Amino acid sequence: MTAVTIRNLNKHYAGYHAIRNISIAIEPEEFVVLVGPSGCGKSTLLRMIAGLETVSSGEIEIVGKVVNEVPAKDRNIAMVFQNYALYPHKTVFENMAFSLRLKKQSRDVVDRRVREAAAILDLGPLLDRKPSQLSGGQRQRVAMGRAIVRDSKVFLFDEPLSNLDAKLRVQMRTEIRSLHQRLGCTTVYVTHDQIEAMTMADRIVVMNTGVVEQIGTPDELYDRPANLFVAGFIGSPSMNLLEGTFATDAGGLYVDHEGHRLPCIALSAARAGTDVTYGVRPEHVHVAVNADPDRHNATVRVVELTGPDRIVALDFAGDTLIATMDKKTPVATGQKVEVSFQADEAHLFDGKTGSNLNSERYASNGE
Amino acid sequence: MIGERWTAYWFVLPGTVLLAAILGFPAIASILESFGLQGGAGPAGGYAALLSDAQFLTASFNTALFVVCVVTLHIILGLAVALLLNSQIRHLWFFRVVAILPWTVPDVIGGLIFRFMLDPLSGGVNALAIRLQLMQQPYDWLGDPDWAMVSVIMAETWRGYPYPMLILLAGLQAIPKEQYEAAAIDGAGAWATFTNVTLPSLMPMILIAVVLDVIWQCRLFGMIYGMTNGGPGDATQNLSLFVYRQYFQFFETSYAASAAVVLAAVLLAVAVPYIRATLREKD
Ligand SMILES: Nc1ncnc2c1ncn2[C@@H]1O[C@H](COP(=O)(O)OP(=O)(O)O)[C@@H](O)[C@H]1O
Ligand SMILES: [Mg+2]
Repeated sequence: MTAVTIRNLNKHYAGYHAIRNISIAIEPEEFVVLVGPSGCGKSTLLRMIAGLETVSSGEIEIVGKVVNEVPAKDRNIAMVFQNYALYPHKTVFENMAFSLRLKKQSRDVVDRRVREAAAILDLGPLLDRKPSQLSGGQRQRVAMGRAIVRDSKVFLFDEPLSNLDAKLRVQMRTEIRSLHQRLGCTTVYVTHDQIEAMTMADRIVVMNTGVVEQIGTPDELYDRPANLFVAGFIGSPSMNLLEGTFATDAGGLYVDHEGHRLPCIALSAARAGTDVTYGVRPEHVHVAVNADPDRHNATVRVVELTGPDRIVALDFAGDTLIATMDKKTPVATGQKVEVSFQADEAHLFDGKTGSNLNSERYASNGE
Repeated sequence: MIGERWTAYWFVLPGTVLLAAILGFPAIASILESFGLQGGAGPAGGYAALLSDAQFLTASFNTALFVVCVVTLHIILGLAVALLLNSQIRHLWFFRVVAILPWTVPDVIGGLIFRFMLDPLSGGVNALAIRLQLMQQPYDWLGDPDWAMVSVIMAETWRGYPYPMLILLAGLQAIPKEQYEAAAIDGAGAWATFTNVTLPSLMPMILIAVVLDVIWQCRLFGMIYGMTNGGPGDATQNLSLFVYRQYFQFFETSYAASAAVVLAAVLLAVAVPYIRATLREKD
């Protein structure tokens, strides 16, 4: 049995179709991240699962039971809000104890469960404080504590880290992940940050303007983006996208980009003449600095050192290409270089629909 | 820097002088008057006499009873109406306007309206009660000391509730929606949400409403003047009416001033902690 199943779900606000026919099946103990640009409907979907928004059509099932008509208070889910939504007049202890007290748990049970949660989250010394006396990171922990004291079937997080500073954010990512491993609870986590999604998720749901663009593991999304949107959204620095046209010569099918011959995998020759977007990840842009001057086809414009790699912006046929290079290779601004691509590393997206043409091949490889 | 600071005081000076003159002159005049310094009672002023004046003590008791009842009812009714107006009902703007209407009635006129409605011969209240067979005979409500008090309390409850209601509505609207959502997720029903989220968050606003309303109701004059003129006898006479009568009916100016100063002192005692708390929040 799945933990959460969403079938043909729709949400209409007055005149706005915010969730469009979404179906997702979430397995028990799975950590699923909903990711997409701001306004794409992530929060709406999460809030529908929580019971905070009504369903326009379709079905939401939690552990085998359709909950469309079940009010939020009876769904037994736990949720962490973006601004934490702690009760300002209650102490940390009482914030965490509230749901247990509502369930009329005995004093001993309340005390034990809250202290257990506090121990997991290092909140022990803060139990008597009010939320206003806590730092952002501590409030975040209390919000999580409030969620974990309950025996919830499903955990929902709505951008829980977006109010924290960069360092704390990275630290909390790991903490939430290890908490998930420890408690093994099904989790649906919303973020607009694709790096957060890539580092935390078992599976990622990429959303855009109310539709699901692709569902897959971080690797699947990175290596086989279903379409141009996912290709551009996942990955940092993002994939280089060059507009071109399919053409054929003695060597077979290739992509013509401003007169440059870009190699591509063998697809039906019937595609010749149709438009295509040629996608290459920065690590697949091969830069040769000592090549024969006759073969130079690009100029280095900007060189950025970022940790282990060098990120280089190149002028290539009127476009900007981003490449990651080994730090040891010397390269300077203004330098002429040769750029090359490999057919099996390039992604081809249909010029009209934006869907990934490589997927035809993934399918035939039985993957 | 020091120069600049003094410049700032110069800017404040005209306003301060004006305020001091407007507020200060009558205050000082009243205090002087109360000690009979403009010709009148002995050195202890009217103050000693007040303590043994049954009328003054009755007026004080009436004021206290009236204020406690009216303010309590205002907060309960105001909160109930504010909760309704804060919900997602249709044609909300219409109900908001209707709810505020009593506040637009001047208080003397409000008093007269109730007096007409409660009139034993021509009033609508008696006619309606008889038609509904709640009673056989018309009754002179305002002629009965107890019912007269109940009537003025009811009348002022109706006329004055919109003010605390608006304060509480503003308070309700300032409570973040996520608080309610978090409570729903935690499994709280309507009552648990009200006692755990709404009420604690609203407490500062309730306090403000209580303090302002107490001050307002202590000074109330027009409503009672229009409705019962303090009668029957002195059954509904409050301190404001007592001062008024001493001054304009008995011409006991010094005595009236003493009572006025006592009332002002009590109000000040209520107002000062409130003003201090408000100022402290601004820091
Ligand atoms: N209560 C509402 N009424 C009307 N439109 C809404 C409401 N809530 C959200 N929307 C719209 O639905 C879309 C999705 O919103 P949301 O789910 O909050 O996006 P996200 O969380 O992905 O940033 C947005 O365009 C937003 O303007
Ligand atoms: Mg959102």
